[in-house]
Amino acid sequence: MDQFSTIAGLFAHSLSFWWVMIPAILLGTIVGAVPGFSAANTIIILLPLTLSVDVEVALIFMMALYSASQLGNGIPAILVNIPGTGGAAATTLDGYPMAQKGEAQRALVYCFVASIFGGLIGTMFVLALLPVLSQVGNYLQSVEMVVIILFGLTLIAVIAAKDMIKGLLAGMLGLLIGAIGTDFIYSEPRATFGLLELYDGVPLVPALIGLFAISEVFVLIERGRVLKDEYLDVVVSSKLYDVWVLVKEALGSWFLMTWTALIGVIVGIIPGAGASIAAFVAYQQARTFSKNPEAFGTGVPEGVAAPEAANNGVTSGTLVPLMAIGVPGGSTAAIMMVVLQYQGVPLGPRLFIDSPELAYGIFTAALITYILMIPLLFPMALYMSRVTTVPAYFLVPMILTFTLLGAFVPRAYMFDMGLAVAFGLLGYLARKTGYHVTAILIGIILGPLMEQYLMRALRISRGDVGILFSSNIGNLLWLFLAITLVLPVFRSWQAKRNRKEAF
Amino acid sequence: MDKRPGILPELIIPVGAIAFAIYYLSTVWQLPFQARVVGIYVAAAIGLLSLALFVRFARDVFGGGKSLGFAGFFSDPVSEGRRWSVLALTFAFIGLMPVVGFAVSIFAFVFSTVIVIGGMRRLKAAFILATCMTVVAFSIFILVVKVRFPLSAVDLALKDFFL
Repeated sequence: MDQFSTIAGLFAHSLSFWWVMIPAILLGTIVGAVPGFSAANTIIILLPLTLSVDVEVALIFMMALYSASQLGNGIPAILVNIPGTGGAAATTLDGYPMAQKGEAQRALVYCFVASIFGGLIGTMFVLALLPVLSQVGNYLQSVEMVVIILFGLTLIAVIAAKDMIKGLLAGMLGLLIGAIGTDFIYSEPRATFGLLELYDGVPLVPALIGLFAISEVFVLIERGRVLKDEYLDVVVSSKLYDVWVLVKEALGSWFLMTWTALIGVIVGIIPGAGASIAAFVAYQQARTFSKNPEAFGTGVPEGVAAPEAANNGVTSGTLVPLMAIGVPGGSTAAIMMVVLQYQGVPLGPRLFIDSPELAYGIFTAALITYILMIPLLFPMALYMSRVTTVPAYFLVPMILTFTLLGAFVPRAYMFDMGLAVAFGLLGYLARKTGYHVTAILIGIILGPLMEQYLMRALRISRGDVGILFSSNIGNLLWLFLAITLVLPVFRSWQAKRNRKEAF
Repeated sequence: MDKRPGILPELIIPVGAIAFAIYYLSTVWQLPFQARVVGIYVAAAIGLLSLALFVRFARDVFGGGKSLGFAGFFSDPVSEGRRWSVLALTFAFIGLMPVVGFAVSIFAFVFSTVIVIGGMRRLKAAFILATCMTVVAFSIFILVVKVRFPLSAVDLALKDFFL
């Protein structure tokens, strides 16, 4: 009861910071929607601000910005097939086909509803079970992490690409590209082509921009505009009232959004796993339990709702290990930790005793943020959906300019702009020949992580590969991985047999 | 003319992946086991998956489903010409930015890209869009966020004017 009354009091207290949250929501939505910018690098840019204000204001600002950016990531994924970050890559699978057939507004509303609903459910779940959830990360060592990463990659390859072998090959190519640069233990350069710019590895932002934005631009030149001509009237004639009708329709998927948000929270708690794995696991779950699994990938709203609810669930999840044991669950949480440490806030169990208003307050602030997003963002869905009607001769230079400049931002190297174009060519080739760009990108994101955990595991076992099969949780995950690989083959064999029998 | 889809475009990624895997292994071969372990496993996986694809492609070609060529890969000559032109302009934009600076390179790039895709009848639209894009990009990246883009005399004069 005590904890409940504390949280109720904090809820009212957080509400008084609406003046911090509103600009953070608007800024977060914009930075989330622009590839190259993210919550993490925006908080870094704004460090002079967050370090100079009161710790509570700083924390609420960062939380609101982080939550809004997670929602913002889905907007370009739907409208122009370019996810703001890897976490929204799964949203492109159904969001973009919906936009192409004149349902951009519907896809955006589903994205907003799922993000807000998922964020609210995830945050309430975390608030209720914070002490228990903080222990999850303790059961996952390097061996389990290697299998989780391989499992995530396999899942993405199987889901994203229509052809499993091509998807797996794209994922493996991504892993190898992700392993470019110096290794973690000996700092020896590997496959850098003699380029100093690659010693730190392949930068993620140019890779994302190239694989998604630039390759999409090359496709767009051929098509003329995002929207297919026959659906032009549908988009142009849509009204603001339609948004509220669609909100009601989207809320009908509350059960799907609830459990995919919980998937997001659990994956978010695992350090390093992140929104990209959560979104694909959620997408796969939604497809598996759908009445029309074959319609996924052609533009179904559930294919937007599931990954969006999950990647917003991740937002609260990544903060659990940070607040409870002082270990950040992701890059944004790590930067938030820097700010909190600078302000002298002790992280870990003492935080809940010394400063409960901060430990729980960050989550009540997240709840208020999500509620404030409703009046701020829903009316925009109508106007945002009109982007799909813009002709290619306007859209192409706008996308190219802003994304190329975005590729430069994180490291300030002209090289990164060239690298983005190189990835653009790879992405275009992959799109044209059925090797899915998402699998390549996720491989690049997860490659360095997997290598780090694999090296650690092998150091512990003194080079014995058998360690990968030494843990019960790990073995269970290996089993899931094997099922993920075998199940599609079995299903396709079964479908072929049924077709033969029908004849 | 053979209307069956060509197999060669589908071969580019597996062949490229194998070539890259060989290059990767050549750069890690002398390193301690832990520094090359990922390379070895992933390269082996790439080899096996590519082999599976080659077998399938060979079956497709010998079965008559696909041809040995690039059929179906390239689109109509107009779109193809625009695509290659935009690619050339993109390289020019990246190459010229350190020479002519931020504002001029963005203006020239946006203006010429609109003309290449939309044609000469979009001259006015190209000018308006290029001006707007330059102003917005300059305001965000140079004046507000202060990213270290290469600046020319024009950029410095604009910066002095606004700040």
